Amino acid sequence: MSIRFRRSPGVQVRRFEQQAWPLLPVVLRTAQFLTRDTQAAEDLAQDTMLKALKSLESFRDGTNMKAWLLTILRRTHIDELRRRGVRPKPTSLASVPDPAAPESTARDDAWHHPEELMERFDDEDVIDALRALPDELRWTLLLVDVEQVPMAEAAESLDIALGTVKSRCHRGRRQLRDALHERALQRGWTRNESEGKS
Amino acid sequence: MTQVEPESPLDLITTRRLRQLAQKEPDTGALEDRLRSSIPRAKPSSSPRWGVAGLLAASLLAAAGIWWVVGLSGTAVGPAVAEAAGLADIHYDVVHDLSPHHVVSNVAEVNAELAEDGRPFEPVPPLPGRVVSCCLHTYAGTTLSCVVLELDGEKIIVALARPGELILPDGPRFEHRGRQLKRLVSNGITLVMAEHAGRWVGVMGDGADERLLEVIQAVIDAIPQNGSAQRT
Repeated sequence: MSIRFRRSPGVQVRRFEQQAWPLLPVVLRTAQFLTRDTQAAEDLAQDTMLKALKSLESFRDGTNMKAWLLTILRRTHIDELRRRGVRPKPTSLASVPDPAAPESTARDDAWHHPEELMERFDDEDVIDALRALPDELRWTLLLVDVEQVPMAEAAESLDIALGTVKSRCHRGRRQLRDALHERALQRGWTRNESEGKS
Repeated sequence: MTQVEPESPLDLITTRRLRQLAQKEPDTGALEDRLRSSIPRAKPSSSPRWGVAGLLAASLLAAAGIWWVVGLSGTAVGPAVAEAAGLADIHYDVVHDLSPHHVVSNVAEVNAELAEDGRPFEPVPPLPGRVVSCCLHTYAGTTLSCVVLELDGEKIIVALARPGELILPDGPRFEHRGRQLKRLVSNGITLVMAEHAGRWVGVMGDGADERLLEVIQAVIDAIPQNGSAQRT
C-alpha cells in the first residue's frame, strides 16, 4: 500500500496565512474589476489563493507578495477565459493613439477642468472604463495605478520591459480618459471640442 | 519605438482617480468561508506579537469554536443542502491536488485511510474503475468521504455523506433506472447526486453524463438499502 500525504499543510499554510491571506481583499477587489459577476469574481479569487498556496514555495521572500498574487490572478483569469473560449481583448493598432498624434492632444484638450471632471465619475464609471481597455493596458493600470505596484515589479509580473510598462501606463491612462470623456459627453457634463469650435 | 513622455498633469490626475479604487474594501466573508473549507487551518493571523505559541493556541481555540458552532448549527438546522458551486470547488481542489489526500489503489485502502483520520465518516462501497486517491473533505459542516476514480483516463470523484447530514437541493429531478437523481452543473463540472438509504451520494466530473450515471448507479447498488457499505 502506498501511503503518501503529498502535502504537509503546517509550514506552508502558516506562511500563507501570514503573507498571502492579508491580501485577500486586494485579490478579490481586482477580480471584481475584471468581471461584473460577483460569483465569478469570488471563484477567480478563490482559484488564485489556492494556486498561491500550492505554489508558495516558488515565492521568494523579500519580493512583492501583492505583485506575485496578482500575477497568479492574471494567469488564472487568462486560463479561465481560454477555457470558456473567450479570446483576450488585444490592442488594436488602430485604437492605440500615438501620444504625439493631434487627435489625442485634441481629446486631452477637451478636459478643461480635469480634476473636477474626473471626480464627477463614480467608481463604477471608472471600473467600466478599465474593463473596456485592452487586456495588457488594463492590467498595467491595475498593477501600477490602482494597486501601486512599483513599475519594475509590474514589469516582472507582466513579463515585459520597464519601458513598456511606462508606455502602457501612458497609453492606458489616455484611453481611459477618452472613454470617460465619451461618458461625460453623453451626460452633458462637457462639450465636444469640435462642436464648440463650429 | 514609442517615446515615453514624462507624466503629464492629466496622467497624474488619472492615476490619482485610479488609486482611489484601491480604497474599495470588498466583502471577503463568503470567500474566506470557502477558502477555510479548502485550506487546513487557514485563518488570518491576528497579531505577530503573539508568537508561535500564541498563534497555535489561537488556532486551536478557533478550531474548537468552529467545531462548536458547526455542531450547534448542525443540531439546530438539520442537514446541509448540497449546492453545485461548493461541490464543484471540492472537485477542483481534489483534481488539482490542492487538498491533502491519500494515494490508494483499492477501496479497502480508502476506508482504512479515512478511518485513520479519526473523524466519523461514511464508509465507501466497492467502486467501478481504478481508485486513485481519497480524502475527507469538509463541506457545509459535514464530512464527505471523497474518492477519485479513473475511468478511461477520465477523473471522476465519488463523494458520500453520513446519514442525515446532507440532502439534495430543491428543484426538478430526473429518473434513471427507477431512481430519482439530481443533476447540477457548475464551472464546467457536472454533478449527479441522489439520496439512498438516508445517505447523500454524489458523483462529479467534467465528462459525459452517461459515465457519471454509470458510476452513481454502481455506488448506489453497492450500498445496502438498510445500512452503510461494509468496510472492506
